[in-house]
Amino acid sequence: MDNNIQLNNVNRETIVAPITVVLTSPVIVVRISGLEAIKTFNLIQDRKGAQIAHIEPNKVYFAKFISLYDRFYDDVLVTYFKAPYSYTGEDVVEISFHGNPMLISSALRSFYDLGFRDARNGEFTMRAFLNGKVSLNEAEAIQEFISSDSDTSLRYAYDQMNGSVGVLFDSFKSELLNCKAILEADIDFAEDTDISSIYNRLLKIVNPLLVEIDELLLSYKSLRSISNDVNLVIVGKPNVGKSSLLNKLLDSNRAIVSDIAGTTRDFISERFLISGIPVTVTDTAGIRESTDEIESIGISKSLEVIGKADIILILFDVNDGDISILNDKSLDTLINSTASNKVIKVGNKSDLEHSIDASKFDIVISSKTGEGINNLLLTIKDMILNSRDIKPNSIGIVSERHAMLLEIVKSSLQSVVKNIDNNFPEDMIIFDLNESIRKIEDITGENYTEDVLSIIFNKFCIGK
Amino acid sequence: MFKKYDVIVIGAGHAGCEAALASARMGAETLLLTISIENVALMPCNPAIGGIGKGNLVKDMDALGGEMGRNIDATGIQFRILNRSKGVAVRATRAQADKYLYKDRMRTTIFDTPNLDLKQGIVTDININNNEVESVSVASGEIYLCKKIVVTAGTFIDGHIYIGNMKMSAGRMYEPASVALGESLSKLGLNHFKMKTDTPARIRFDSIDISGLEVLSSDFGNISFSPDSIKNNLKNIDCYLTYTNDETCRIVADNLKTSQLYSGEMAVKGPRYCPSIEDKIKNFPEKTSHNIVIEPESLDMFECHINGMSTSLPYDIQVAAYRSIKGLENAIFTRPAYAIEYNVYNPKELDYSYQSKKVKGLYLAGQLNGTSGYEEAAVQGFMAGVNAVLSIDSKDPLILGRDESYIGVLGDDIMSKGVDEPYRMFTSRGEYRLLLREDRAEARLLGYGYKLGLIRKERYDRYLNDRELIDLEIARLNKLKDKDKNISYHDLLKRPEVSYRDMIKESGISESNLSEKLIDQLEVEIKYKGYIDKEQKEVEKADIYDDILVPDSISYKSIPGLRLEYAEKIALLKPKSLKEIRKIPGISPAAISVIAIEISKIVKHTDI
Repeated sequence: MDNNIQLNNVNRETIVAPITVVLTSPVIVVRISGLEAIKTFNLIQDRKGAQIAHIEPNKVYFAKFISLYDRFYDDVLVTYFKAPYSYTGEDVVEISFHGNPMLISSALRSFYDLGFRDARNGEFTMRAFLNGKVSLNEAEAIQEFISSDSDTSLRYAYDQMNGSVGVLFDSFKSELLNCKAILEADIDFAEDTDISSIYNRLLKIVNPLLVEIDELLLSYKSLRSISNDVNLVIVGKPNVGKSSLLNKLLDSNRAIVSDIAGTTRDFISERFLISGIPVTVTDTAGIRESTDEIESIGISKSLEVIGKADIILILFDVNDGDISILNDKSLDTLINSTASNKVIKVGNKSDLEHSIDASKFDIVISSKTGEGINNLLLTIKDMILNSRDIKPNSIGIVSERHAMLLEIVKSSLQSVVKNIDNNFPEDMIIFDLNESIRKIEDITGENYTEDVLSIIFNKFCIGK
Repeated sequence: MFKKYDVIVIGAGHAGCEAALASARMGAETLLLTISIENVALMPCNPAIGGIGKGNLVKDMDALGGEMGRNIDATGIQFRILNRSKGVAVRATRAQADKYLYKDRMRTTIFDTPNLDLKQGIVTDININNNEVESVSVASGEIYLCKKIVVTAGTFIDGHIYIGNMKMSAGRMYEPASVALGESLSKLGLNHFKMKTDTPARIRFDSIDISGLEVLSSDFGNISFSPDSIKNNLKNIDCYLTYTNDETCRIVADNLKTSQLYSGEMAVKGPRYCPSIEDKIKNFPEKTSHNIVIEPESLDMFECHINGMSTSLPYDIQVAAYRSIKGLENAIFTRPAYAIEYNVYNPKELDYSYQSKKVKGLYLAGQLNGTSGYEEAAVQGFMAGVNAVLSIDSKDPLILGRDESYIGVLGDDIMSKGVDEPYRMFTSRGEYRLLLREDRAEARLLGYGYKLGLIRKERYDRYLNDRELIDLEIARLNKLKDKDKNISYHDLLKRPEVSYRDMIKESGISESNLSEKLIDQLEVEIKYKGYIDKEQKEVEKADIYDDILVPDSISYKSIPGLRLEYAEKIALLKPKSLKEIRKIPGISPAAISVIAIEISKIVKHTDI
């Protein structure tokens, strides 16, 4: 084993990555592997709020994970596997988070800050193989996996992103390439140019770009920092389909979830995520179906819940001619007095009706067939964004990695501006510009060297 | 009957001269075959060497032991530093040559070089045996045996010249094309396609009215490509700047149909960065004032190259268009402008030593690989010549990385991506512009040149001494403090407005005995330190698999998932560790991973 791969002795980086799909789901598991994996416990507290003194391997801790950056925290399950008795053969920590992608973003950011880096495709298994933890057959499967063109997969991941943000990154990309083309054309082709006019042209592109990136990052941060759930209340007469709508909403979002402490048990409350934003949805069905004797108590509780709601979803049976909302005046009055931008009128059971007067409703759905549910979700999302003053584009940056890359783009562009102010030469300016382009490439998964030459040839008349 | 050579070089343009000289100087018996001994190292287009990106190529090749730098230093008649104000990383040296002195000196050098025969002859056949080159047949009947062949035939292989509707077979104007050689290469299975390029007309200098034209003169100072060159004693000439105008553009636009290029005859790609006047006017119709530079071609001041006016329009249209330009109203043509279309052999069919993947011992270099420019051709010829000899000696090939030289960038670009238009070097093609700057040519490459035996010990020692002087001075500036500002002179010099010379003068600290060139270098290293370090870090980014050693028994081609082009590239370089593999241009982290797995498999098998 002399010439063998003695990776255990190599001063290697500690890597981190989610090992389950990062979608809204019951649980998302994150794995950390490498010499410094145990540093993860810096972010973990026991139930009493104290650091865990003796970290024993192979023991499952029920603990609190606290992100370094924001108020996000989560109750998690943590397990430490000591090398070589782990999946990779290295020190490994695995954490099961609640399945909120925003939470994972925040957690990853904390890990990067500990000095961990993103694991590459197949890298855990790769390390496992090199440390003798998996067989040859498995290794061959890994080779297949890794050799599927990594550029393509990166591009694929990028294409999966929210359309509007893709367009935005593409526009950043083309602005940056324009800047590069202006400089490169001057460096490679021109003689005796007026540098101040070139720098002015650059600033005209870079400054607005900086503003845009800043806005995006700010609104992303405000989005990430939503720690109070959005309260959505479903009201409606009995048998209009409230509970089946609730189930449909949860289904279509692969909902989690648990009961929320502190909410009254008289209501059915569930949590789910819309574009990463946690939403508590309360079904007032509980009022009517609790005991008749205490209906008045139920109604006063309903009034309380509705009063706190961010969004009220009123469900009607499209076959019912009656426009009153509930069989209770006080509730009707309260809802009628609520600002209309908080209310969505939904007509249900469209599958049963032949001639619907759709104008009476904001949206018509069938909670039975699922028709119209997506539209409803979009409407809810828009309403949330409006109420929280969040730029819709930022929704697309669900990945903390993208946000961090954008931060680097921003700081590189800031040096561009600063160095132009100091009248530094073009080769220094282009250095920072290149850095910003490399980071955009990391997001979009493309390489642009040839693009720059094309821009130069198409836009500038080259040659003496 | 005929001598057996180690290396035969076909074509004595800029690529062929470097290939032959490098080969002979490394001790190989070398034959250089040319169609015309008179035209060895001819400059058939502009009479200049260097420029942005290109200057780096020349200086790099000079540090490796090439001839072009010294040749232009000895025969240049105007020297300039371009991009002076744009920063040191992009500064470039450019010189105009007396084109006759240039080629005479190169021919003399070749005749004077031991182990090197220069002979006239048109090659008709490359003969192979067992898929390896064996000999070369020449039209006049000679057959020369050899171990390696370097083809550097430029635009000659099945070349055709176009002027208006006229089309004729030629390698350059009034020189015969190599038709048989093209057929021979096709028989060997090499694939080709066509490219084209243009050159402007030559005009009698005494027919030009230079009064009222802007004068472009030499820069002051001791400018050279090779650090060892002494400034030549030749008189320096001026060039003259003039412009096209509405009338020029109208004449060209009205007659586009008379150009075969636009009537569909030549559906081939020309260089976008060096467009014909037709292209400029077609692509940028709103612009009518294009720079035109009148460049005398020799000290005798008879003929001028009209830079910016290359075209393949009919002769009479050319005359009218040229005469519409200020200063050229009475221009007398000595040679018309023309376009030439020629065979290009797909450089993706070469390995990184410039050897054909199809025929063993056959190397291709220069313009026929789809590049453009004397410098681009020369460096390829040099690399091919060196690698042909290394291969004979069973040594590892010399393959330069993208972080080592624009020569490495060029090779990697054309061999991995191929070419779809004539490839010219730009500094923007490189990722590591600060490391590849001209003043670091020796730091990057002199060691290789010395090891190859192409750089003399005196030069290498001189370089080491220079390096030490700079390091000592940097250390001194670090220690000495400016008491008023309370910072070291090293940090003071980092400020963009502070120059070394002024700082020394004002501070009263003792002067160093650094030469001007070394002072420039010192300033760059201090002022750009932050950026240079970042770039260096980018290059040296450590990887967790770096320490893994590669067993000799590895077969890259059989590694599942490793792209064949990578496999070939790596196999050729015989790397000893994964770290070396990681440094190979174009190798992705994913490729490293699959190789690491393969190594581990081999090691485990051997263990059992």
